[in-house]
Amino acid sequence: MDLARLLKEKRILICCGSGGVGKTTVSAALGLKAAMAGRKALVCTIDPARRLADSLGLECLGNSETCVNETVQSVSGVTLPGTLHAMMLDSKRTFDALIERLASTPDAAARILGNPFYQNVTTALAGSQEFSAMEKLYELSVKNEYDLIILDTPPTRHALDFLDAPKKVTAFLDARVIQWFVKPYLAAERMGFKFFNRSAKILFRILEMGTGYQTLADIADFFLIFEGMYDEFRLRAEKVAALVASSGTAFVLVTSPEFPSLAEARFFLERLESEGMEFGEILFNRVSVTPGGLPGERFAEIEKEAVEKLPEHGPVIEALCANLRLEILLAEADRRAVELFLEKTCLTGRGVRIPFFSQDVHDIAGLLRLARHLPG
Amino acid sequence: MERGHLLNKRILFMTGKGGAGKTTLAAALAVAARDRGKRVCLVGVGQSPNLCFIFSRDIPVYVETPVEKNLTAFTLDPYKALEEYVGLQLRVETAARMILSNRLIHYFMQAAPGWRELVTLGKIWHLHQLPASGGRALKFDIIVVDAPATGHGLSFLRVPSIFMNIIRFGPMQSQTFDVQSMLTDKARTAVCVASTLEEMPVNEAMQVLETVLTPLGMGLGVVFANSVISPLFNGQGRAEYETLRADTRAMEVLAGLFPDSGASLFNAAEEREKRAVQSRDYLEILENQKHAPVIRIPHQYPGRVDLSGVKKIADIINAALDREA
Repeated sequence: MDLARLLKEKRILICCGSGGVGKTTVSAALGLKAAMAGRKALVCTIDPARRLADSLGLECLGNSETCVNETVQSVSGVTLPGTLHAMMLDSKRTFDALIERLASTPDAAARILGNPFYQNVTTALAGSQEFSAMEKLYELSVKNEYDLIILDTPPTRHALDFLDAPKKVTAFLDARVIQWFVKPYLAAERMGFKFFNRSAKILFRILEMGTGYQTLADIADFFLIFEGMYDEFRLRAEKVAALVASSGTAFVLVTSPEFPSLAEARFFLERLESEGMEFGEILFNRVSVTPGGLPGERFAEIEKEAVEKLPEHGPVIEALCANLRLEILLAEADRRAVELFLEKTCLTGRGVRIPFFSQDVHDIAGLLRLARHLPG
Repeated sequence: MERGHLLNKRILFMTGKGGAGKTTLAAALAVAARDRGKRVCLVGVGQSPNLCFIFSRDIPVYVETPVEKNLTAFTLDPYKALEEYVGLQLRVETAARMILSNRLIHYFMQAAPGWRELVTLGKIWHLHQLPASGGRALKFDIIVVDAPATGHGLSFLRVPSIFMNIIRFGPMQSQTFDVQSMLTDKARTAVCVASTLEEMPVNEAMQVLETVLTPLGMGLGVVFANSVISPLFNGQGRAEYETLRADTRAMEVLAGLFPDSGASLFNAAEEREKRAVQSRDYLEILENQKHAPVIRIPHQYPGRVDLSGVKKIADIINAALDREA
């Protein structure tokens, strides 16, 4: 499906890509594009560097949605036919809210939220940001206030981390882990039982030797309180997974034309396919493009002639030609990298190339220019 | 920079926003240290296709791989590091492998927080105090770590202090203490930051500098202003360019010669000028901060930076460090 149709027909677009490719900027531009086409769009970003906030000229985006139509209007004079909302996800607050919602009693919720282990792990848990992002996505989708939600994924080292995150988090909190390790450990400690799982026994002996009993007791306590919530928790994770795999959702891949980012994008495409998720479109951000009407093969000849005819300007003309040559080389390298990538991934003819703008995109004017450059 | 020459430190962490050129600069720092007669270990946190490309060879996981004279590359994998650590604690490697290969434990460890960072830093600590075979001297004079991108990079360095809060006593507490002491010893360890000259990377770099100093309490090395774009014309050249543009006859001659009337020639020059201006503005922001000296690395175009490019950057770094001294 091409980008114009994705923006028109999908309910959720998830923007993925490795760090530093301009994911947040592209997500914001996509939201703007959808609002320009009359849709009610929300861009949700998760980013400690507050890049989207910068992009939208907002000092502070909270864990709730803010309408930016007026900002767009006042800064650029553009009236959006649709609406654009933006929000920055607060991972910890989303996690806490989920615990409060799923806990059987307010007391159970308070005990989890106050547990030192929980406080230390929720922000550090591998995949907790991604998990919160998906949880928030689900919550927003159920609220059904937007035609289109664009999710900018967390800045992970690998784009793939996003797909693995919910599984990792639920695995960590898995009831079986509690059943097999934590309970026998506590029981054995309290009643002097010997427990049967040999690996677990050794593991706990090492942990206790290494960290002391109190540390383990905090951890065990956390899992015990959590146990009652686990089924709810997993059910929720399953619903989120179903939403992500549904036909209203598609993944938009953002990459730079540089090698590490392209290699990452290729892995990601393979994973999407094997997980049966919908690939929407791939956007190559910051691609150098050659200007039209180039001197071509006769370049050297023309240069020589120019210098001969205008010897007084010789050094300047040579510098200008060298600079143009460099630009052609860069553009050629990018063009080849993108084409080779599309060929290897059987996507020839697809893909959106966003040119390298001479100035950074970090304000509304830049976003509008970027949005106008997108097809559709 | 704190106390002494950057390359006389024992451990350098290279961090920065994704796409800022961390890996290339970490490799260049390693080569620069080697060129000063150090025995260097370049540590990649996780597999890095880019590092393999630079040294045109495979760098297998968890194997000290000599890639150049006095330069060893090492790909750090947390699972391997954990296996080694548990093995050392139990003094039996097979037992460690048995425990860690247990399916449920494996499942659990996949998401368990912090341990990856902790064992990774633990292994770096281990590498930095490895003795050379036979002698009393150290195996590596300096460890250069290609750390994860900022965001991740900083929480990575924060983990030992978090664990100091969680773990109340026992050998793991004193080991964590050793790692934390290594990190915060400004004579031994420094954090270097890479940034390209654009809005977001520069913002992140500035944030990193603050965070390294106060919540982390670590020492700063240098800031790399990467991919500096120089103006096409300077001073005299600029004046000559203006003269050409004002010379109607010359402009007509050029328009007659070039198929697009010379448009692309002048567009490219203006484009270059805009980028050079942007580059200069952000460079100024970096150079105006007072926390760490800035080393400028010119744009290495075109194409990917290979070993010869890395060596060129290493020379730039060494020249800049000499000027600094």
